[in-house]
Amino acid sequence: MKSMLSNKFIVIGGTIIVLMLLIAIFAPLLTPYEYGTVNLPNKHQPPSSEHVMGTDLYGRDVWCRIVYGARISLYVSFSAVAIAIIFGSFFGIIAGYLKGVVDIVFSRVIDIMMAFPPLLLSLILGACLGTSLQNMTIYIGVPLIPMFFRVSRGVTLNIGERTYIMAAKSIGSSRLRIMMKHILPNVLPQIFVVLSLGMGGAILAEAALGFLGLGVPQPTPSWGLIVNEGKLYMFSAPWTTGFSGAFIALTVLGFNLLGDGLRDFLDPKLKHLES
Amino acid sequence: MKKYILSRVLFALPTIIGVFIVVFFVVRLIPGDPASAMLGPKATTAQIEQYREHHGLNEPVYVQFGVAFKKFIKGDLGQSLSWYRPARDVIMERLPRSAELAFFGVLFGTIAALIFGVIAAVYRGRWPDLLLTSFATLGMSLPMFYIGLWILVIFAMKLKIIPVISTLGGGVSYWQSLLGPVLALALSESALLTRTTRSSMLEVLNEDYIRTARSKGLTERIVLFKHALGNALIPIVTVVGYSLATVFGGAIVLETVFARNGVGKLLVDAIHVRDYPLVQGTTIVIAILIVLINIVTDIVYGVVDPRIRVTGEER
Repeated sequence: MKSMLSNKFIVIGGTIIVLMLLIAIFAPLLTPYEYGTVNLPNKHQPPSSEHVMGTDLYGRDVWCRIVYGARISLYVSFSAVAIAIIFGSFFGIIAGYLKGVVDIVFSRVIDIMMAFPPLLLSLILGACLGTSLQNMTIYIGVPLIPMFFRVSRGVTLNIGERTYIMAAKSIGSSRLRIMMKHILPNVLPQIFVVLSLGMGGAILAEAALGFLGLGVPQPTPSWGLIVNEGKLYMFSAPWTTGFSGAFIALTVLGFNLLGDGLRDFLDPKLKHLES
Repeated sequence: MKKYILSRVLFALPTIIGVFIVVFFVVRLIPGDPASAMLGPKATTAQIEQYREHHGLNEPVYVQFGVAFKKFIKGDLGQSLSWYRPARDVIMERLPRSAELAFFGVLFGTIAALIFGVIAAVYRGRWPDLLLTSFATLGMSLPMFYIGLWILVIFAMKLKIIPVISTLGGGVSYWQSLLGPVLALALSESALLTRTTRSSMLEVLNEDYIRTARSKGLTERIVLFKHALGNALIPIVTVVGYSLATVFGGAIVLETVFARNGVGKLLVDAIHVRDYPLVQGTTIVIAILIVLINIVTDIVYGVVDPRIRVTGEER
């Protein structure tokens, strides 16, 4: 733990993410206004002492919307990544451990998924499922599955032939037991690194879908939706999209730094190259 | 080499067929009846029934799939509902706009990244390295539309050197229409690649043959760009291939930001008006392009690293 805190990427990235989580949790305490209060005469006010980040096209306080948006965006991204981890590592470990036909079939399916740019896969799944908060976690999560599949399969292939796995087999441990007891603990640290990078990807995906008008439906503020509402006024009132985009970038930066740091930490071989 | 290329192509065929199967069934999950969507709200039940019969929509799904698959092999992607024309023709008209964006974006992004990555590796730990790696890390975290929107504000509104709507004609030159989206794409693409180039170079610079080259009295420029960069290329090719494939995702967003008539914007528009055949066609074309790009990347590997060619193993 101590050496983990000596990695500056983990510290900086972790601090940013903890801050964002605190903002999301304590949203009501941090906001002087309601996020949905429409005040048309007050629309597109530039940042001032009353509205630190200005107001949007309906006169709503941008800071309030961003703070409440953090809740939605982080919730959607966490759920999406959870879906991807469950499916990706489950099938990845099975493919890596059983090999043969099972591995070939699963890997082909993943190849097919990877033939679609993640955003494209999200878009067509979104068009099929419809845009609701629950569906959004599915169509942001599905394109992230290959990432977790490949990592889990790779690690499993790598350790599947080790002596202690052989020993477990020879004393008659079941396949399920070997996968849960011996392989999963080895896969988890790698999953952790990918999780952090995956979170960054999920937040970017939510933002991009929101920007394209296929994000979380009105009136729930998500970062993607705030960006979308402000994009037409980028020339006259850039603060709506400007500030919400900056929050997106900062959060993604936090997850990327954390992921980099964790990778260095878990794989010291690479450390001398990256620092 | 011929055998290697052939094996790569044969390996890709099942993926392309798989892509078609996935898209065919996913698009059929979209709620709503294509017949009533096509004929509009004023259509009578009889008209809808006649349309369904005529277009084979009353057949079982596997029969419909067989018909669609036969058409697909012949290159027929069906009729666009919003353009009243074959989807293939509409897509092929738009494809060059996206292809040139992707090509120039990745080209300039790669050139910038190679230069930045080599500089960062050479000045490792000093300010040029810190500056470049910080920018690269930040660049990887910025949403592509965000970069695009600020470019639009700076270059179109303040400096007035690019148009707000990047379509050709109306006094807008070819390069003016490309400048904004290509710049956004190149900036975004160069971020990851700068880091890859840097770490790959650092790894190679520790090798014995670099010391040998230096001790032979070769100039630093030849050592860096011929001996080091040449050997550092394999991971770089991986990432360039990967960016060429993902760049179409970026194109979807950037074409919307810059109002550029490429396949990405075509797809988003088709989703908004529920033009299912066009959604299906665009998705299949983009996915097939990516499969083809991956084949080319694999072949380039074989050229850069002859060991791969012999074993036929990836990476």
